[in-house]
Amino acid sequence: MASTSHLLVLCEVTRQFIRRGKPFNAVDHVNLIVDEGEFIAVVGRSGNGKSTLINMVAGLIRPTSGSVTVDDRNVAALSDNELSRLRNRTLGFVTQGHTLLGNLTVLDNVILPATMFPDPLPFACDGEDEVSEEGQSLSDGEALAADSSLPDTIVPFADDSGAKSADAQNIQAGQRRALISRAQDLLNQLGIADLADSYPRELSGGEMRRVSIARALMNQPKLLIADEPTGDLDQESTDIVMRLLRAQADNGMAILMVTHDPDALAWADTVYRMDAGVLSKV
Amino acid sequence: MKNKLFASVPNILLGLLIAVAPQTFAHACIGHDMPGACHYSQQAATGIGVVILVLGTVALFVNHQIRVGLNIAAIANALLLLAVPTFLIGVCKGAMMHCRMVMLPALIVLGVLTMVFAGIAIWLDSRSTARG
Amino acid sequence: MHSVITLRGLPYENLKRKPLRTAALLTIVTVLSLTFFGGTMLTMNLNTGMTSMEQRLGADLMVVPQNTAQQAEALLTNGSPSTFYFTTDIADTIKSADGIEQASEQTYISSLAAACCDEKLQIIGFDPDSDFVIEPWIASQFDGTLQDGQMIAGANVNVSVDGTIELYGRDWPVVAQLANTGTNLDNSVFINTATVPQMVSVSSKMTKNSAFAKNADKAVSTVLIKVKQGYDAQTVADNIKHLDSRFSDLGYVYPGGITATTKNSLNALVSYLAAFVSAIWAMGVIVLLAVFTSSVNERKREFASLRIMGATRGMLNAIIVKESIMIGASGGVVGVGLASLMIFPFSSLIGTQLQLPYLQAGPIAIIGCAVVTLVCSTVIGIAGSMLTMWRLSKPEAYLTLREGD
Repeated sequence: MASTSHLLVLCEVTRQFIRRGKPFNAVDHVNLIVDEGEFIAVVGRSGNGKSTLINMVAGLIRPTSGSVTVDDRNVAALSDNELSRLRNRTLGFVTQGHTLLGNLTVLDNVILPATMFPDPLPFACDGEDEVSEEGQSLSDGEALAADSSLPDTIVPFADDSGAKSADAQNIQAGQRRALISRAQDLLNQLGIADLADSYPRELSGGEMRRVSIARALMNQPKLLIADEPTGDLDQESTDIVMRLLRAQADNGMAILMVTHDPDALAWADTVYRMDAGVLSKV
Repeated sequence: MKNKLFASVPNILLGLLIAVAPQTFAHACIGHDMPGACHYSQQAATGIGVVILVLGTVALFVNHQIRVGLNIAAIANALLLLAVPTFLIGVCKGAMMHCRMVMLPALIVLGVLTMVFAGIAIWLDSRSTARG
Repeated sequence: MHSVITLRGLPYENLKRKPLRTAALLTIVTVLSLTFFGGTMLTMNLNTGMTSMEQRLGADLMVVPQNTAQQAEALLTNGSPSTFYFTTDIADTIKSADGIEQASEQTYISSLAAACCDEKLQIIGFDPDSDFVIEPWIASQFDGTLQDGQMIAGANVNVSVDGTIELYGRDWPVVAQLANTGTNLDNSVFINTATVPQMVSVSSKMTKNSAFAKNADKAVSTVLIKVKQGYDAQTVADNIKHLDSRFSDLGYVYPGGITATTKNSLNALVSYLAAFVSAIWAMGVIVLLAVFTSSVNERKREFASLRIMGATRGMLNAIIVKESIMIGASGGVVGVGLASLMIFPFSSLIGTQLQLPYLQAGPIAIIGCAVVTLVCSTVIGIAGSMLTMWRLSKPEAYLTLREGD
């Protein structure tokens, strides 16, 4: 186990489907290793197995053969609970379709993943440095309104949890505040802070896309999986999103992105092409 | 708009019913010369019904904070309506009399419904107050 | 401060943000629980009334004066009070007939409206020593002996605070008031045989019925008969007719027959009720299933989204079950509440309108019925959402979603 120190290891991963009575491999013996801080893009025409591949990484589809190992754990061998925890804490998933919960506000949509499991979140216990760094690196790029407010959004929470006298109520209130400020920061960095109280149906496609990115980043995942994250974004928004993703990668987050968008490709470290289920380096 | 209808229409309809019912289908006992408790309860109920009707009508034209007040008044009136045939004035004692069998339960049901709807209206209106 | 969403709060948000769907589901569940609770309560009350009536009509045969059989029947079920009588010598002769196990006399006198706002009462004179119909029931609620001049009042009789009833310008002491029976006996007062002449004389004075007054000491309205083993009521009636040629003109009432007739119409009503409730439930369940099924596709995306965020299958199930419990339970409460508003206050009106023995079942039965209704409405909600869960738990459900995107 310790020997594979890679974050993501795909080993001979194959997924077979049956189309018109004939079996065919949507994903064909794919090998891939992704380490922390790596930003990988996968291109290819639709129907070539890109979505199947990332769905297998997230454990949403089981491979017909081969193994997917995330953070030293074989995804196929995990129980529902373990797999869910993995999706919640280790992975972040920006889906291609719009999967925001229509009954929740934008802010609540972003916060929800952080409330699913009781164990502490990275940004809540030791994440102070990372988050402020993240803000730092972002401010290097484009001057977003977010960066100045970033430090104090985390500090109050650290104070609260540090104060041993705080009773459960206070801790809860502190956690609540931390979650809200974390979500607001993410929205801020994506340029949609003013939409926090809107409902998804009031948003444009591009705005929804950015909300799902904020949601995927909420729990500070080790591996972000993004399916066409710039699909319906204009040039300016694409830049905002890619700059943020780049900053996350520089900060140690691994990113596996499927895209058609040449603008987005430029931000990746490595580009792979998926052709008839076969993955090859470009 | 929805809240406004909730705060007014039930009171208008129920007030109307409370005013009309005791004078029509849920009348007091007839056939004895001396007006008894039923008769007075009947008159009082009609009066209370008119008040609730007025409260409901006024609620159509005012803002939500005043509507909360109007519905609190409607609840007080409904309580009064319940008290009239039970404690304050009472009804005839014969268990099989029309006023005991129809008017009393009709007034109780209408009173309870008024309170329930006014309660909902207060809840809706005070929520929008909280939101500002 | 802005409160933070949690998985626990999500079902509530889901219901709140889909007001139309929620209102439709709530309405259906409310109608279901209303009809179920209402129908069950009506049936229960009718059955309680029937049981009570059967117990009150313990005689096999009632012999009453000429042309009064119908009045006597009405008196047993739900009719208005009446006065009729023959004389004790006839009664004594009747009792000598063959096949009689037990016989007892009762006297029925209809009062004038006692006072303002009161109704006519049925005064029933009975013999505590020989009576086998009313006495056991009275004995179950009144320990002492009914003294001359005293009264026992039925449930609906208005007894004044000092424990008396004013009848014919006189205050009569009431020693006990009986429980509800759902029959005409609730509007009756009971006196012993020795008090009857007294009552007859004051009554006839008031009503200027001189013939009645003349017979005050020997007026009897009916002879209640329990037949011996091996005889049926018809045979005994024939035996009585053979005693004296005049006796064939007497009225013969068979309480068993009345019970049977009442039971028939009650059963008919109960089966209509049951059919009505089942029809409503069948329709309601179909609509509920349709609503749930149609929402599966919309919600598939929502649940896939939650799964991608890391919700376990258990969390999803908890969300769906919680939603349906909220709908089912609140619809159930509203339905039970509405049905209660109709059934309990209007109880005596319903009883009168149905022309059937109608007796409010006890609090335990009511609470039990309410609980069963709540459970049923919640279960129907959960059953509907089970369908959603079942559809979603098919392994390919997420796959189709992902591929369809």
